[in-house]
Amino acid sequence: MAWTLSGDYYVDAVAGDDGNAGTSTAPFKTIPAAVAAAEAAGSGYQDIIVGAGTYTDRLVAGTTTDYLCLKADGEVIFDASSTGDSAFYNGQYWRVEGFKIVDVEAALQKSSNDAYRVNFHKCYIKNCPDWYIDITMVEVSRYHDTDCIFENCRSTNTGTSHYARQWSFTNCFFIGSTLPGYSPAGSSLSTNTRPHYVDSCLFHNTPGTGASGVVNYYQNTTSTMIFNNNVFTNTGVARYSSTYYSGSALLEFFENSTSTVRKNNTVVSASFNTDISGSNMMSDAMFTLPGITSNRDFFREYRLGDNTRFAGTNNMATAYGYENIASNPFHTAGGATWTNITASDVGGLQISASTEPTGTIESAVIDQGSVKVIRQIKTSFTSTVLGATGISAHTASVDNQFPTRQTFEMRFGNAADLSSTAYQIFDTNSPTYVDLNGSGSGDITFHTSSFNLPSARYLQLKFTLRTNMTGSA
Amino acid sequence: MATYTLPNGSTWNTGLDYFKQTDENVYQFIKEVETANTPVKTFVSGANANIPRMTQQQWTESSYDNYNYIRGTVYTYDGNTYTRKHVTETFEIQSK
Repeated sequence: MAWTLSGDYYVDAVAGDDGNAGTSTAPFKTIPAAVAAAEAAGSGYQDIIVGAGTYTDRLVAGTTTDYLCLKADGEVIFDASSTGDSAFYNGQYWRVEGFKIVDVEAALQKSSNDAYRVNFHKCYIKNCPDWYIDITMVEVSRYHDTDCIFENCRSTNTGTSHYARQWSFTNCFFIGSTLPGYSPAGSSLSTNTRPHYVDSCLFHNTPGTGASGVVNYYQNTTSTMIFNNNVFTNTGVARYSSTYYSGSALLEFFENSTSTVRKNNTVVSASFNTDISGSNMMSDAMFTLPGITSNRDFFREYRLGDNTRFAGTNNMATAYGYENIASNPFHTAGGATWTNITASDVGGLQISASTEPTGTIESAVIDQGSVKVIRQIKTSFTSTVLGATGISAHTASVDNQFPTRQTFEMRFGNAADLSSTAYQIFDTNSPTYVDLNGSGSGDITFHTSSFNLPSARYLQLKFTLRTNMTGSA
Repeated sequence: MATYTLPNGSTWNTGLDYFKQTDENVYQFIKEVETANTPVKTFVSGANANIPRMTQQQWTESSYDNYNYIRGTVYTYDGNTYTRKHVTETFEIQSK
């Protein structure tokens, strides 16, 4: 394996062997072997570099004083569906970076003491029935997670007392997830003078009124919660005592803060394709976009100031990946129509035959759930093949050259049937400006004071490739 | 079942599981036991002859007059692998 990171021990699920020394040239096969080696070597800060692959072992710390950092070098998937218990156990000074932790069997963490928690950084954690299972202090913790995506992570564990304190989240996405803490029957959690802190996070599609484990978040009047600079989409839900807040009521909730600290939180109108695990679009965007060093930078683009009602100049986007799955309206499994376009033999997209001058992808009709301003169509076509373009003509075409001509069109309206609505051409990555004649165009001189952005609930997009420049559009 | 008052004033109930104690402050005392004492560790060999596998560690707090407080953790493994599949936490109060 070609390592890009350096550390004290190395793990390679494919070529490693637990009988090895754990070096870059003789890596271990399992993470527990590396943990045991690091613990045997003594306390101190040690890095364990984990190579691309799928790992299934439960990760248990044998000490409570070792600073271990598990760093993913490549796509590391921790399939925690058969650990027999929590995915992680203890690990007070553990830091896990870049892991994708999926299908957690019981809970993300368990510990013999409330302080022995693992910290996560740039991790993607999906399908986790509970944050913790452990001592009677149901949800107590002391850790700080940063730059993570939590999708379908819940909190349902109940006990004799209910605490949510001393944990922090910064720059995290919560999709269909709740913060740690669950209290049945609408009673409040207590931070017991040791507040939790949530900063620069996004909450989308929280479970909602009446759903089990809805939090996001509430607390009693004697405790303190610091909740700053967060973004709630209009499907975000907060709960205070037994009352649920969403939409404008959620904004009022933030604006009329009582005992807690809630500043600069925003409620936006936005939609997401929440099935992003296959495409990795969100995580890739978070980790690899040039100029974005952290989610904090990302979120700054969406903030206007104190508890603003306006979403800002850039709404959160609907993101779709390349997977041919039912939730992707740009693929056939999601209802799209592909005509003369196929996956390229050099990666990306291309016209399917050398004799075809054009090819199109017409998406399925996308229901945004409500009428929303369409501020921009962003596209990104990439090839997984080194050196290949994301879009190419057929390799046998006489017009095979780069770049291939392409057109983006969109039709939209507030009725689900768009078949009689005309497509309009829009530039991509520019504001979706509609001129005085009602025609769409991309306009780099557009400014928001024009107020002629299109609005619609239903969208349909069409993407056309051409092998030459003789077409009409 | 018996209850003991620990030095920090919390109450340990021997009839309850380690994770199910009703007085949360017992865990604070247990943490102090772990912090103040060096654990005695027991190992067995594993798949790698150079890396022992810890099967047990135990902290003993004997500085108090009437009781020794013994905190322990037991690990079990899958075969000769290093995967700590099961962990058992214990806390024992011994009369001096």
